[in-house]
Amino acid sequence: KPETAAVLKRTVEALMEKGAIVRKLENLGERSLPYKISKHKERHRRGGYFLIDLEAPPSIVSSMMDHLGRDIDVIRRAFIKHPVTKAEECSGII
Amino acid sequence: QPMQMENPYKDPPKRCVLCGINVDYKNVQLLSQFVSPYTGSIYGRHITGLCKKKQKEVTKAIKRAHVFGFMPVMFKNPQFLTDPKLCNIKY
Repeated sequence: KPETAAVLKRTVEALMEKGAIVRKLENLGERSLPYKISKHKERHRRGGYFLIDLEAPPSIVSSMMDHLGRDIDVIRRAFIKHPVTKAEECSGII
Repeated sequence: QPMQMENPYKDPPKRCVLCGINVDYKNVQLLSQFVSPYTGSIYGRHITGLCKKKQKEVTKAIKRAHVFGFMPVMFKNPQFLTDPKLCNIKY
């Protein structure tokens, strides 16, 4: 557990250095992965899922993906845009 | 003289199962209901009965969940095998 805390701290600090504003950090729990993932010369079966809510310029994305790729403790990395929640106007099938 | 008005006996617009529900790549349980338990393949619209928008959203969410390691690819998560049936498929 101190290792996960260290990983999170490292990533958040790297993000802040590059000029990202971290809004939220959610822990989606630790569970066994749906399939075995081999990364950094190891076959992983269990992992912790974390979701970081942040605001950043798009130029950060590629450098952060590099940074996270070099980190041994990070199994899979991804950046997604915020989903635009507009689902209240669904007017059904015509 | 007959008065012009729109049909008062019109049915309310037909809604699909997910009309109004926000589809997220994180809730694997909902997404697994549209996936085959044997092969893990995504069902088409003629089986799920969703409208075009929602079907597209579900497909994109499922593929995202596959890549990010939330949902298994080749089969359906056995935890969710006993969920209520949404698709009209006969095994």
